Amino acid sequence: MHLCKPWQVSSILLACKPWLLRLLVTLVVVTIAVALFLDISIRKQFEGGSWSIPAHVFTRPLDLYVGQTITANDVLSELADLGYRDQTGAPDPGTFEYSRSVLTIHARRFQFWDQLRDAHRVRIGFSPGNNKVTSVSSEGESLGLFQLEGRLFGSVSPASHEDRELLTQEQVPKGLIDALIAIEDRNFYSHWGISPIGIARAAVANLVTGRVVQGGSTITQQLVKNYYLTSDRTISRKLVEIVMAVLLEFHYSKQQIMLAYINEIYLGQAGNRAIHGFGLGSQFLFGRQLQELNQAELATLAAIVKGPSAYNPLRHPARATERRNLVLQVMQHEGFITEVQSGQLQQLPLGTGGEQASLRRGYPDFLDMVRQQLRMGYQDAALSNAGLRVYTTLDPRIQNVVEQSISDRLTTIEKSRNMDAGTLEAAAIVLRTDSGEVVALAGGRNREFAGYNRALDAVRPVGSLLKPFVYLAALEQPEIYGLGTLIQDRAIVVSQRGSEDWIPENYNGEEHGLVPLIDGLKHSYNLATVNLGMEVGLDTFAGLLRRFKYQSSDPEPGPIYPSALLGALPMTVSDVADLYLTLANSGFKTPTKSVRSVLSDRGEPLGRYPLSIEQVAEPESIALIVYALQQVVTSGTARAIGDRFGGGWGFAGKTGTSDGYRDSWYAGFSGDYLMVIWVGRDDNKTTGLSGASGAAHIWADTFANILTRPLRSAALESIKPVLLDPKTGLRIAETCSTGVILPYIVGYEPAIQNSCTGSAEADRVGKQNEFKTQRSVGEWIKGLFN
Amino acid sequence: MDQRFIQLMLLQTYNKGALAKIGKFFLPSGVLIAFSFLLQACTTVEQRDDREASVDEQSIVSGSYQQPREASETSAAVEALYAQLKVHIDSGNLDEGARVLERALRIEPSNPEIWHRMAQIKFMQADYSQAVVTASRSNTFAGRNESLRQSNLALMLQSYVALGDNSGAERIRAQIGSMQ
Repeated sequence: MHLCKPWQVSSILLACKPWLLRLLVTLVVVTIAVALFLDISIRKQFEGGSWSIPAHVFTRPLDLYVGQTITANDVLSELADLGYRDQTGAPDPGTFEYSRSVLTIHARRFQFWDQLRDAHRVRIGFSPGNNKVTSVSSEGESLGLFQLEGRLFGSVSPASHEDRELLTQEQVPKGLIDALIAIEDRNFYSHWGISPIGIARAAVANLVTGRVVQGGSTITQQLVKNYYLTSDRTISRKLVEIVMAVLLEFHYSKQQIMLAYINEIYLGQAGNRAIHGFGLGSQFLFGRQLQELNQAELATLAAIVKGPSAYNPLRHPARATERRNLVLQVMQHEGFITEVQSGQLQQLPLGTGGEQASLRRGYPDFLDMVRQQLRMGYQDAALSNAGLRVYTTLDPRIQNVVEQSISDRLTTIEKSRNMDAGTLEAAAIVLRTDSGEVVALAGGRNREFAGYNRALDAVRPVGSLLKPFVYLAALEQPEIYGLGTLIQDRAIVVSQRGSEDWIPENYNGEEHGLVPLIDGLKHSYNLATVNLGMEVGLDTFAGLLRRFKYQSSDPEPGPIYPSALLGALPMTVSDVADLYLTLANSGFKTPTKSVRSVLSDRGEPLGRYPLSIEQVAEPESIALIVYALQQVVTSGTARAIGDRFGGGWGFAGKTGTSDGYRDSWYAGFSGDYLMVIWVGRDDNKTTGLSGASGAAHIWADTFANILTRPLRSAALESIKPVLLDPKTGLRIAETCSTGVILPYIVGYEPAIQNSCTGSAEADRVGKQNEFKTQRSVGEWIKGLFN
Repeated sequence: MDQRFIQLMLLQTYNKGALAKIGKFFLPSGVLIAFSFLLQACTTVEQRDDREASVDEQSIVSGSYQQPREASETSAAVEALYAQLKVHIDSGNLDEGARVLERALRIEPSNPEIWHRMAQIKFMQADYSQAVVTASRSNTFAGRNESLRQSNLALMLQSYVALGDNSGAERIRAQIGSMQ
């Protein structure tokens, strides 16, 4: 019999307690297996650089060029949005100086589509009134134009909401590392991933101060916790964290670990977007690149690591300042900065520009449209992981004006009509007419609310907004119709197969008899429109809409009934814009777009959305409709806009009102921008607003505050003015002193009538409007075209 | 028409001076604006019975409002972009050339010459249907700039020929014939 002696370990293991041996072996094997597994997973993730970087989305760059009409204030606002700071001499990238009509910008390094532009200084000279650019130069050399970079304003992250911007080693300021080491892990360079001394020291420090000033976890442990593990506070998780921290230190240098920490750390929340890493953290809190921050601002970033929500400098500036100063004191204690420096830095403001600063504006509604466009060309995975750079068409100056106009005007209307605040809603879109680029989009009156996007998703009846297309369908038959052709504004009963007869009415319930075609559109007569539409044919009208590539956002679009002539066709604001864009573009259709180009995370060009146009209507017939729409503004249903701005702008537009004043619409364009607005209620109840009394105001408020061009009549040789008798629709001699002048397509002018006035009634009206000058209209026209 | 010919055409247009052309273009459009003023003055029937406009028109009319600021037309910036365009064409980078012209159009959206050059680029890219439609777009801005209109028609004709679209080519030949 073998004697078991407890002091002989080997005998215990081998003979006395064989189960103990097995247990021990199992434990060793399991530990090795776990460690190997952790080791493999750590290395795989760390070396794979597997951060999910969502596509980053930028506003359009701002072109500045000699002769441009833009105020110095416009440019200064843009610089403020971009986080540029006013500093004498503009010494560093991200600074500017404005003095005596000369703006010196020290532009940042920026990856444009075609080039990585290095940081450099540029001087922009303004006219004495500061409203025109007179010179653009760099290093004394005159430039044709200069581009101010776009602002990163959001990200597209379909799968995860984690957002970050990766930094390289060279991009990390030493001051940030110093601050992090001082406040988070002063033994960082000497420990092996865990620091018993650090834990003890933290405990003592916390005891002495009576509050938690230091945490026990090393930076390596924090990285492991953030990067690999959940936030559960269990012992097993803590053990895994310790093992992984040691393994990480075994495989990687301190520099690599610090860089990973700097890119990983969670720094706060912007809506549903989680801000990770100091690269994006700096942009989010300060609107500037990390390299542009001063030591106090870097200390603020280090300060919030402990509690991104509790020490959020935007929400709790006092608390954040207190902790920042603590960081600076510890830095001084550790010898990173002197006492004098620490004292000075503690006096500095936080530098975040407050919670509402425009540099953090997110434009979630516009992002919806960007997502829509990108999904057509890129997979969700590429959008959420690959760190793409998306350059959009968003013009923040115009977007801000649109949002402000909506907000102010709806408040005014609600007050003047005794509605509860918040009753009305609105949606709007603004596009560049030449390219179809969407420059602004508002999905509701609450600018920061990322929710129901009415501009893209609210499908509502458009009222009279479709009338121009009824009239266009007629004018496309110039041998039958011209702007002066007389049409019936009389009651009509439309039989519809399978449903009751439709008996439309005018807004005021009256009939106007025979009216010139242009008046039917100008005054938005329902009866004239239905009579004309039925005469031209519903199929012709529907065919025109198809030719204009009209695609309803209505998930269940039905067939086109006669009531569609009066707009009983539900559409979104962006659907309407799509249709009107072709009118504003002389019959050339261009797809609307919100993205210009996409680059890879390394700045390589991936895809561009080049200009592409298609002719879907003749410029001549469009010119006639546009002329009529200009008359809508000068003397028709939208004349309030004409009265406000005068006729020189040549704005064209159309009001729309749905049954029971539920929807108030306006679609109008200048020489370069088209804007469509809807005003109504989410519960679809009546607002009491017509297109003119609701949406048109917002259009006018917007155009009063943006830079735009007048709408010039199309310079077509094939369009000529014709003098005619409005009562007969016939041409009269140029020597007649009465009549109206309307544009006609050459070769399709109306027949000539013998007398100047075809009827006694016309004679009477004509005499009232006789020219006061001796010169006849005919001579005047001849003079124009000689 | 081969690429060298198109390049020659491009170089020719550089030398003609864009300013003079812009002047020619705006003259007729100014006349048309004056014409539209006259039309407003001459409207004989003024029926103000449409309720749509009258609901609370007063609030929009009264008071002094800020006027829109008119964006400028300029040439220096476009000239600088033309210089970039030439570099891209010389190096055969037509996509970049098109991008530069898009940028020029953002600055001067109704400059028929920029549209014409865009049509030329599309032609050089063998995108003939876009060449036709872009040249046609240029013509809607060309006014009385006969030489530009003819260049556009020539480009359209060549594009139709390249497309093998005989009826399109015939139509353009007829237009060229009527101009002469």
